[in-house]
Amino acid sequence: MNLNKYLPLTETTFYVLLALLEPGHGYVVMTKVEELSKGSVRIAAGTIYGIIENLLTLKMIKSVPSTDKRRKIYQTTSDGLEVMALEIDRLTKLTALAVKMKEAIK
Amino acid sequence: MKKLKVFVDMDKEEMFLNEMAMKGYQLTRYPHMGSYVFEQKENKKLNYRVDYQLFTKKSDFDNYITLFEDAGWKHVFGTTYTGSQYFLPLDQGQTKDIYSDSESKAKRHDRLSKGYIKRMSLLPMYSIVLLMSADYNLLNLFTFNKPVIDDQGVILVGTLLTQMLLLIIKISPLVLIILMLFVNGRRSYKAKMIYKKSIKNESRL
Repeated sequence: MNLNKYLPLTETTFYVLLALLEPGHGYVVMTKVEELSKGSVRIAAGTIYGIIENLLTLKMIKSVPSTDKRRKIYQTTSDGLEVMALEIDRLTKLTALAVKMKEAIK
Repeated sequence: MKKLKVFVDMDKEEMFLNEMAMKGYQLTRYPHMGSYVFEQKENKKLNYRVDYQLFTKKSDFDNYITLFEDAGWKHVFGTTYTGSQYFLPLDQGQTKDIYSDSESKAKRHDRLSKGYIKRMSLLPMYSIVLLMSADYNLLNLFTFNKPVIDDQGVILVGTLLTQMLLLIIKISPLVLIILMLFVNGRRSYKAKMIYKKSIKNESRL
């Protein structure tokens, strides 16, 4: 499958994939994203629910067995990892260019 | 207290619920489309938030509600099939929203638009049953079973009235189907327009 068509990822989607490298439920993702972004990215409940549903449909995350009946647990899949690698590659190139151009812009 | 009202625009619905709370009426139930049930309480400034989600599995619904509860929301009303889900912040002074970006917020109207179509999923079946009952010709619904004029050409008023009543009963399912198609179709279109408008308003580079 060509995952390039999903690029660029939105900031929130990237954070969710990152947070789910280790299995966790929805609220864990919310707090982890806040932590990882040092408070600069806060995702509300309705928004995170939509992102999770969307990533599940795209099979970038999967539902893993949960002992808690009321909280589903998710984890990033190999497709999810692959799309993250592509995004990191894209961002790295862009950042390198941006750093190089910084002087010219000033 | 009951109030009959239908909102396609969920922002307006939130405002309506907040205004009702200001007047001392708090939402308790929304048992079916367009019928709000309120409980009289003290006048209060509340921050209602409306989401639209349909669920096929109870476990999915529980997972959704629990996520909102974990994030500080009280689920006021909503079932797996009503679609509209009503929330209040657990910490009542909060003015926060259940969405943190306009794109995901806009999508609830897209789901609502599709929800109106889903609501008509039984219509094809109803239509087939209706068509079968009319011997595969809808015009048959519009006929009298008995002659209403006697041999001398005199109108039999009694028979005419009962036959007309029967006719109304016979065609009522057809009228209902057409009405449902029209009403749901229109609301679905309206919701789609709200969705498209809010997507367009987003100025992204």
